[in-house]
Amino acid sequence: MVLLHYEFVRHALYAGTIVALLAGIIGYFVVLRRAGFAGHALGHISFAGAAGAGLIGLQPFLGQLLLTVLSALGMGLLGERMYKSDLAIGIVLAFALGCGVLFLHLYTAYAATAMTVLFGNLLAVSSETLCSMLLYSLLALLALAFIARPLLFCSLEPELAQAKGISLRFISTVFMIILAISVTEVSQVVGVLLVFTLLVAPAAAALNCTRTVYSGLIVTVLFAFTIVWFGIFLAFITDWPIPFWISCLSLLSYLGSLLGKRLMQ
Amino acid sequence: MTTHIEFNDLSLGYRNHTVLHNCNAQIAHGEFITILGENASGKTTLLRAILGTLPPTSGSITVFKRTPSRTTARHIGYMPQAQPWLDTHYLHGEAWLHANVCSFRWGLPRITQQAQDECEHLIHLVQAQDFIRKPLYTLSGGQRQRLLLAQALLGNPNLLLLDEPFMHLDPGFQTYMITLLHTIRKAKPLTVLLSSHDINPLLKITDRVLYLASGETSIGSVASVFTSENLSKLYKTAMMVIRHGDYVFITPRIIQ
Repeated sequence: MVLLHYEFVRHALYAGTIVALLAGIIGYFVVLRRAGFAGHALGHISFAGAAGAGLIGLQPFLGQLLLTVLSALGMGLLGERMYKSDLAIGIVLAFALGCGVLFLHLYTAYAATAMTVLFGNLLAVSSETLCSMLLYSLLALLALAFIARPLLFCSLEPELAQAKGISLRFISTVFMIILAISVTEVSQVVGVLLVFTLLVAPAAAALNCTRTVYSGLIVTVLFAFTIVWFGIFLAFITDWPIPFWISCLSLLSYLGSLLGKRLMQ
Repeated sequence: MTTHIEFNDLSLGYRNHTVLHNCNAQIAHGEFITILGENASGKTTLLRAILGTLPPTSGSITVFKRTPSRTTARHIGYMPQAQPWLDTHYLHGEAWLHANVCSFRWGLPRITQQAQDECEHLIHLVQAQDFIRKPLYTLSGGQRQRLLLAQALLGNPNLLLLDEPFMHLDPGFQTYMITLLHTIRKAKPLTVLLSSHDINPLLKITDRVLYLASGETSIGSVASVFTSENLSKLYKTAMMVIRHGDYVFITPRIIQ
């Protein structure tokens, strides 16, 4: 526990915990809605946003936020068929990466930041970053709590939800915006390349071994906490990068849940 | 008897493709209407128009004397045509049914004791108690249909739209479901529109039939709709109605 004497370690743990909570809860709905690939694409788009921010004189974080929220708006308005389409998302995702590379070519000052956006850096979280993360997370979770009931229903039974007069487009747009904010935030810590991991793995693992919504959410968050905390701990012991351990533990928890699912049947 | 649903020169379609043409009908509160027709004859399209998710291309439709909207939709129990549940449907049946309760309200999913009791009651009514705790993706087609029926009955609707409810059902449960609908309707006046491929299981319970073919509609008693002349006109080809005891069958007239 000597580790906890260092401020940067404490900050890493705080940041990791916030991210795990947020990504876990949002991820549960991402998996229910089968929108994992859209979440992944938002990560790559946020890289382009960070790289392009310098061109228009914005902070990288704001650039990321702006571009992901705009993309989320687009995906939401274009409807489910768009953001569940592997082809459309794959092509947009590749284009976003391409734009990111171009922006870095045109404006090199943020190259280091852009690298951080790709791979994250949990060990350099400042108090200010921590505060803004907390703020954005609370906002995202509040917004999610507000739409949770119709969102759950739309995710499970879109046709029935539509028949009850719920606007699928409105709900999915709001959800995509919440997802965009979360992805931008999670990417500060684990990087866009691993956003997918925390967003999808804990929820997918939890859904394999739970049968109700709240038990699913609780187990998702517990998985996410465990993955992040042990990831940080193992990184310190082994001196290997945190993203490696986080992705490795995510994979293990998912494989474990598959085994659990087998045994439960 | 008050009119529950009214079609006035109603035409329905998608983009350049007309599915139903100039349909006129009045359906009274408490009537049981069987909607008959082949695949793609417009049965589901018509139900969607009643729900308000598909606006008419021309003419008008009223439900409870109003244009179909969010408000009318909430008083309608709808059982859609069964789609297979994907292997991502991990929740069990009860959690799924709870998610259906007042799903249009904002906020966190919550369920009152009263709603919980209602779900409990419906689960027994559709005889789903044996598999209600199993994850959805492991359920058979018939089990899925029972849960969809339970969901349609939630909130005590006064109009039920059932889209091909007998698909995937074994004959035993088909009979049970018809008896169940009969019992529910005896307790309170409930308008039912049920789409089916076959009128025979419903002969005892249905008040009138609405027959859809080649974009045209014909509504009336079984005896008046099921005549060779009427159906030939509807299908625009020679049709023959064969009666056997109480049962009716139709076939294109091929043998001269």
